[in-house]
Amino acid sequence: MADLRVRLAGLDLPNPILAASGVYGFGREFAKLYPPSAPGAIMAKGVTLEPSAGNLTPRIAEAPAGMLNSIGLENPGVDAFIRRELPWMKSQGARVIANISGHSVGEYEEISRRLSEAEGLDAIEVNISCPNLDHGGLVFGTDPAIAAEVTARVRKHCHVPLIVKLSPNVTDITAIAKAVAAEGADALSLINTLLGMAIDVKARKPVLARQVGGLSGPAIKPVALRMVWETARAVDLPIIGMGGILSAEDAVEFFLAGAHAVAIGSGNLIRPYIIPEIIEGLGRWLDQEGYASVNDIRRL
Amino acid sequence: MNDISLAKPALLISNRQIADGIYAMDLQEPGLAAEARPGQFVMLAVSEGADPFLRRPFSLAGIDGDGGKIRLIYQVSGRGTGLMAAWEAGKQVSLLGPLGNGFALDAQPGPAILVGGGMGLAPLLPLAKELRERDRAVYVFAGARSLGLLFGLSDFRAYGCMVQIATEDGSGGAAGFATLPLGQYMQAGFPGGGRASGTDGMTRGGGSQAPSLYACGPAPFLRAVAGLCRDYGVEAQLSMEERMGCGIGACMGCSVQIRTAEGIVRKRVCYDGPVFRAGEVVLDG
Ligand SMILES: Cc1cc2nc3c(=O)[nH]c(=O)nc-3n(C[C@H](O)[C@H](O)[C@H](O)COP(=O)(O)OP(=O)(O)OC[C@H]3O[C@@H](n4cnc5c(N)ncnc54)[C@H](O)[C@@H]3O)c2cc1C
Ligand SMILES: Cc1cc2nc3c(=O)[nH]c(=O)nc-3n(C[C@H](O)[C@H](O)[C@H](O)COP(=O)(O)O)c2cc1C
Ligand code: FES
Repeated sequence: MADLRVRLAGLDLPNPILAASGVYGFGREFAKLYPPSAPGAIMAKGVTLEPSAGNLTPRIAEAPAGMLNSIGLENPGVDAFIRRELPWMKSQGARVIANISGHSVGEYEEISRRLSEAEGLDAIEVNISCPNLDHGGLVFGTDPAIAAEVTARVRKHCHVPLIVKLSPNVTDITAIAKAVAAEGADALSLINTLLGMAIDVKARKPVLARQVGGLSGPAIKPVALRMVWETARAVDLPIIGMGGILSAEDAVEFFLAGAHAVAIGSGNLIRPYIIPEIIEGLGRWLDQEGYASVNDIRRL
Repeated sequence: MNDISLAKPALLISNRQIADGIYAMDLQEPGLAAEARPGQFVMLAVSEGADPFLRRPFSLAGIDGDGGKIRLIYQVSGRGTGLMAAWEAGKQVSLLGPLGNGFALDAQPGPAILVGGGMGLAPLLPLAKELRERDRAVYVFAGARSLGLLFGLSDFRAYGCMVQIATEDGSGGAAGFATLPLGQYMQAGFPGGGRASGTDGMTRGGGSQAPSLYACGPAPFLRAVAGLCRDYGVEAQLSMEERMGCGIGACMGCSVQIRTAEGIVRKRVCYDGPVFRAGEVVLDG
């Protein structure tokens, strides 16, 4: 069987199929189906400095070949993550990537300072698809200078690999990628959800209580592939690709586009065993195609 | 609790219309049927591909542990349920479940009042069956927009429940919501339900134990039921609906406000519910 191990920004992973942030909680629910050590790594639910209640419901809407969500980062806060969730995840043999969000540059810095003392954390993923309250709610990830500043502030305290997760809601994703690379990001992950909307014709109002939400699933796969491909040619950093992956072949498309690993998001919601299935399917595909290792797939 | 035994295909045995636009689907899956309890639900894949994308939540409307079968009763209300209505026996259906916590049954030995609005009647069917098997007196208040949308009444009666109906258009029973006959019943001192003060002429196993109430239906309906329960001091369990992503507690898609001693917190309908105590649920707006 082909070798699935990958080394990514100093992280040694048994396979390149990760659980994307937000659809997998802290792994406790999926642990009832298969071991938390099965995914290459678990990108934990996004945490903020303080506990957050998130948005009102409805938070979920169906979209053509995908879904919209406006969870609003409901989470127990970074301290509870460090105290309660991380130790449990580590005890289960998982490789854990914390996913962090802030409302200001200072909050990102404070969260990473606290995480610097967290034992066993494997990496930090910085979600910059959040509104910056110091700048009238403009999303951090849409401005190269602000994205760079967030990266620099987190870098100060981060002793583990630092992954910056890019927002697709930009004109030129390579400008953001270059800006965060210059401030010391070790890897990039992309894409986060695309801003979208669904309207209930019968009720004549938006389906989501927050009106707009993030589009994910196969509907965004072509956009995600294009952005991974562009980014891989623009910066010399390893990439974790995601967006609509539902099969081993989908994952291979991302490797061909330039990703070193991939993450599965919404797919987990509709097919709860999708991660072990794709790990197995990828091994089979590599064997059939005559690859000794997943690292032998050459990008386009 | 909350252990997911099943994420594999179940065999569709029959799928037939039982009321206006309402279908009953019987599925063979012994593991699920053996484990399921009234008030739990399943997430059903309505397509094999990615469109429609999300699984749909449905209450268990029938649990036959010995026969290894479950029943879902669903109303065609959109794309997913529209596809389901065309399915035929022999099809493999992907189910995830049983999910959520069911109704708490052993709380009280007294009579049980079951109140269902529209599709909210579905989870009350296996509940009524189980309560009757435990020899509890069961009073069912069933409401729908019109008579053609009511289902399961003969099943409730066959289990030995007392049944009263209400329709919004007055085509059957009381004209209004099921809370209309329910309110009258409560105001009359729970006849047969054996409230300590009651001068009931139709006592049937109720004794003088306090009744417990179980309700399922749309939010405004649950609000009205919860109001009556507050007024008459009745312990109630409400089964809630919310749009769902995963159904297993991982995505926070279905998280609603719940009142606790520490104030208002969020709980997941799919994992912490779908059944909550009436006093916990925040049903504003
Ligand atoms: C715990 C629970 C138990 C349920 N039990 C039953 C039942 O026994 N019988 C029954 O007929 N219906 C039940 N419902 C409602 C049922 O899930 C919806 O009617 C169904 O999802 C509609 O799917 P659709 O594709 O036809 O509609 P669409 O409107 O096309 O669906 C679009 C999206 O909205 C969601 N959605 C639409 N209406 C609802 C709703 N009322 N509640 C939650 N999500 C919704 C769908 O799941 C889907 O994700 C239950 C809902 C929940 C949460
Ligand atoms: C319900 C839900 C919650 C999410 N929460 C987060 C989050 O907390 N932090 C984050 O960086 N991304 C979050 N995402 C984005 C996903 O991690 C992923 O980037 C995106 O969904 C695209 O992948 P997919 O098409 O495989 O779902 C969330 C996505 C969904 C569907
Ligand atoms: S639907 Fe995902 S947490 Fe309830």
